[in-house]
Amino acid sequence: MTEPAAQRSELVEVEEPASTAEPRVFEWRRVNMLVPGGYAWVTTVAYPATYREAHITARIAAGFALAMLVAGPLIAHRHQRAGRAVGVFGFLAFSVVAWLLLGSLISVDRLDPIRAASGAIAWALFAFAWGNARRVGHVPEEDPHVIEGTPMEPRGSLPVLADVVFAVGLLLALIPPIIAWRELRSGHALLAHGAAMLCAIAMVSVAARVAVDRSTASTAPRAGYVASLRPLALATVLLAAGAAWTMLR
Amino acid sequence: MKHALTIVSVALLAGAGLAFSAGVYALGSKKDLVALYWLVIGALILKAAVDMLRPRGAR
Repeated sequence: MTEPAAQRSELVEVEEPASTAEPRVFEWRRVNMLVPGGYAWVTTVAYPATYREAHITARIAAGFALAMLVAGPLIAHRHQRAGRAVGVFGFLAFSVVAWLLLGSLISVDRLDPIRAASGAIAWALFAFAWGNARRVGHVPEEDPHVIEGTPMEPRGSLPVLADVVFAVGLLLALIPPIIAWRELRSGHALLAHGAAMLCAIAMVSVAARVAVDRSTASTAPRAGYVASLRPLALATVLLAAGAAWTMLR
Repeated sequence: MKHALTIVSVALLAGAGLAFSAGVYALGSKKDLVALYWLVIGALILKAAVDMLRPRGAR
């Protein structure tokens, strides 16, 4: 018996029987789903639905959203796919319906920034809670689908200075979101932050591709050069037009 | 040639970053048309940076 296999057999011996471990794991997973989801519901759906001006249909939709949130993990215990559909999509759908029915009651000028920020964090945690994390005490090598043998080595390595190229891209991507804080007009500030985040995501994605794809560029450098001419020519024309317009003013 | 392409694509990436920054800065200076102008230029330069390293036949 090889050494890793021997280690695995020792782990099997010390692990708890499945019949006693499973229910406890399920209880914790249910709490993981309900706590952030409940907090997100209270801060972003239920609170605005309690305003005096809120329509009764918005309150009903908020109530259905809560019912979906609670029902999801209960159904997922027996039928995982159906539970996920109810707990994630049902909860999200009724929350969106409630927001649409609330209308101007959740406009930007009426939002409390602290409650909105904490609600956004809770929504992110809710998304993570429905993910499939490794269970406590579970050994991945014991999965029946595991591929036995020595670990597979990567077929290639990153090009030289890939981390430096990506770091440069990452630093450049940080600039637009920082500059976006200059905008003070409420409506435009939201647009500026949205545009800045889009720019940052695009910058990071392209930086990763530039950092990694350099190894394949050597096979056909001319092809890439020609392909980039069209967007570069368009950008040059726009820059020239902008310079001409500035000089003529 | 490979190193030259790398340097050009990194320079294009930097150029796109500066154009995006100029666009968001213009938005903060209440110059919405100028902001749109710089954001479009940034997107075009970023596209050029990706296409520069694309292997033959790839779309």
